[in-house]
Amino acid sequence: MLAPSQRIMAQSVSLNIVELRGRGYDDGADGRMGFRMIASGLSAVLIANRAPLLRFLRARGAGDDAEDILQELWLKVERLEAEGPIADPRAYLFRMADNLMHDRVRASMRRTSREQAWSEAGFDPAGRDETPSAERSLLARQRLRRVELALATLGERTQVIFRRFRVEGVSQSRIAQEEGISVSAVEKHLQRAYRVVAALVDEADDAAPQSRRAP
Amino acid sequence: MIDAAIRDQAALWMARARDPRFSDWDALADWLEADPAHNIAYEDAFAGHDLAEVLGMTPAAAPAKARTASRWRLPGMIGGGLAGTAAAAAAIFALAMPSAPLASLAITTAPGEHRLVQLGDGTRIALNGGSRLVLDRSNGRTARLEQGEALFSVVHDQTRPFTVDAGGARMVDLGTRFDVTRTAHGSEVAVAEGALLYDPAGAAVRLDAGKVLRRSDRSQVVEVSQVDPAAVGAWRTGHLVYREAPLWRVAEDVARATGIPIAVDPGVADRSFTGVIMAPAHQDVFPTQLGAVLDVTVAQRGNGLYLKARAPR
Repeated sequence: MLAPSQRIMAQSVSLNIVELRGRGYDDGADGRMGFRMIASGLSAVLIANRAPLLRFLRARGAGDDAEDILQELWLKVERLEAEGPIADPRAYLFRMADNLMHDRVRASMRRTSREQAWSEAGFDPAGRDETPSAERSLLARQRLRRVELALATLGERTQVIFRRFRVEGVSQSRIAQEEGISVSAVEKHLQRAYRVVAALVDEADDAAPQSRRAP
Repeated sequence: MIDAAIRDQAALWMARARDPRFSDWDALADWLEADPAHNIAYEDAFAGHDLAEVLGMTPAAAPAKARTASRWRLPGMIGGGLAGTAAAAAAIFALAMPSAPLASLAITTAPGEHRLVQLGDGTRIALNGGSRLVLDRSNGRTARLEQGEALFSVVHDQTRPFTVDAGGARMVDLGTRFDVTRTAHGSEVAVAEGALLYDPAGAAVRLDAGKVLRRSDRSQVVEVSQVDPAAVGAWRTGHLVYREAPLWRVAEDVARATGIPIAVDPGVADRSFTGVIMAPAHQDVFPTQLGAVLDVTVAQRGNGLYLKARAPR
């Protein structure tokens, strides 16, 4: 089953530019010129970046599964219909790889007591939640209060910057412009915020047995 | 037990890697490789990132500075989940956020930068690099492309047609998705779906999907030809698709997409090219590959490239 794709993956060719005429151009039965090439553009970038992607996956804890995970990534890319402009296809692929590894960690957590604790705290990393909605929204509000309380220790500017970055998805460089500070200063604010929210995860971890015993 | 210094570093990398513009993944790999504890701390910071999603439940207590006049609804693309491919997709959009309530609103992009603008009526305008688009605050159904290229996905309203001006060319939508370009020599509009009306007050030429209209600034002559509808706006996916396009035009587009200035020798400027050019993954091999595909010699000139005829063998 996997043979053809593996064969393609094994080629370490650089296909940043593809000619429509001559080698590589498939006119396609529908006569829509270049259509296939458009669909396969991101795959070509993936093939060209096979080694650095594998290295990244291993560094992210993929171990011996790195090849399989890259295969999974490749299949995802094949199915992906690019919705918007990909300004930097290489970075896009690494981000996909990063998210893929994160998803795997969360999936394996689901089988552990830690995952159990998260679910009881109303936080389901997989986005799968069978808790009744009233209870769920109560838990979410409690979680929100915890996050807000923790961030409140950092000062208003850090809170505003983190919210802008995390909730509104604004880039660091744009925040720096808005706030009239350097990008590295923005980075410092965000670092402090991430340090605090990451610590909250540990706290919830420690508090897990108690919350489970609660009625 | 993971020490505080590693936790600090992990928080810093999380701040970097969750930035939509982050590109230095190799440096992140270097750091992760240095110690297995790094990846554990990075995953914990990632879990913190997930947890912080709840902040989206409430509006900011202190509004951020760049909040805009209410009639321009330019919603954030990533209000909800930042997980998986949603994060990846979000990474490629930079939302236009106007800062002052002026009569007109200019949105500009640097070469190589893409922006997506959503208007209050749902109309979406994707702006290519090196472009300048001007919107009118008192009339949300007009736009003027002063420079560069934009793909319009217009929500059709028969009572309020959407008008686009580009140079001396004016277009009115008839329910459509179309791409407008201001080149150095004139204006161009290509229709991907639906139809639009060119020069509604004068010639009133109807352009259906698969038609491209070019207007020369100098002669003001207008010509209509065929284009593959699937290729219209393909620049948004990092692809430039051509059928018998002059090299000067290809060079302009590549410069807009990559931010690399490209000049073309007059001897080859009008030579025809058919093919696809993709966004470069490696800047250093790009000139060589570009030369091979366009069948020209690519030389360095200043901080850019210069395309000229190949020396005869």
